[in-house]
Amino acid sequence: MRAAPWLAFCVAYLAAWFVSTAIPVPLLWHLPVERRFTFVVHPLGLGADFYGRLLLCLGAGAVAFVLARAALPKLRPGLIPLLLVWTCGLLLFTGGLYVYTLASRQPIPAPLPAGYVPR
Amino acid sequence: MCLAEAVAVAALLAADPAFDAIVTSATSTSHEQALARMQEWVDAHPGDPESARALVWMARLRRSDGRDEAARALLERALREGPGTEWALHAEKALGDLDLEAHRYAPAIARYDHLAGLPAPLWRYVGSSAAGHARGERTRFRILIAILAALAALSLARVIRAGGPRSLWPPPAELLWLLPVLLVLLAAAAAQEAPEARAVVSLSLGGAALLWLNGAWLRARPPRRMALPALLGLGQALALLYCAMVWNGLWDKLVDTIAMGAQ
Repeated sequence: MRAAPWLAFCVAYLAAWFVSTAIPVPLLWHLPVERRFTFVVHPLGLGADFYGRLLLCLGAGAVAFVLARAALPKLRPGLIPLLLVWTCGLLLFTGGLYVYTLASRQPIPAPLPAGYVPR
Repeated sequence: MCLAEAVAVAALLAADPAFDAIVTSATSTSHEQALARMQEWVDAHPGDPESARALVWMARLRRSDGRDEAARALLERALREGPGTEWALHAEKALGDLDLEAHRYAPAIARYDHLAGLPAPLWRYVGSSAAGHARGERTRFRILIAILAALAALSLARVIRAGGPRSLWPPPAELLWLLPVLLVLLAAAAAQEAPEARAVVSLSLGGAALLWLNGAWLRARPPRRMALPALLGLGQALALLYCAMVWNGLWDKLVDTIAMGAQ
């Protein structure tokens, strides 16, 4: 039963990843050109949402972990296979969403910064 | 789009400056204020041939606000007050569209056929293409009703043969296994446009119902071979997808996406 909190962590982590991708939610974005972070739904310039999304999902997973750990004495052994199926299902579903999103993406290069001189 | 259409329709033949002022105000003031001002204009010009145009404009504004019944009353009044005018034909087309959206296919097709029988080439084209589309929608709607009836009959028969509603409890493993996927799908629907969101919600809830019923049936009467139940389940899933697309008016969008790609 010690695996239950970790499986709960995985389920919440993956669910948060899927939902935060499908629904526009404010996230911490890293702006590499400006070398700063900003908390918005989508920045205007070049930005990476990876760190913010990772933090959000780790937070959701941590909450589920704590709740599952607190409820550990009441959990039934039959819950482990169920949590395992949930984890695998959400992993496939979230992976499928990203494959679909990235497969049809056509990257557009960001404009070079003003004053840039190629060497 | 309806608001843009309403502004464009009014701008086509606008002649009265007061009429123009009301139309252009619709983009900056509230729709209610613009409608009240246009109503005053209509009341101040009894018998004016342009009043039908004003009523069609008001109806389109009402439609853009989702108030279809108020739009219908305005369009019927436009038909009465502007017989023989261009705007009566616009009103008839819009009434046909309202009937079509409400799944009243016979009156919608009758209106479109009337337009298709007019001598003007534009209205002949508009009427005949709309009538063809409405006939297609009617056929798809009848198939949808037949599918829903078949699914309901199959589910009811299975529940009875499995021992009644008590056989449904506890929820079967098939439903529990897919529960988080259905829940995140429901959450994702919040970010979609209204028809897409309704389709995703229909699929999620319908899928949950089918999983529940099929899982309870398999638990009560385990089959010797799984091939037939698996095929039947696949058929049910496809039927559910069809129903969600047709019921939410996404069939044309699906056909366009297949024909022309997602972009």
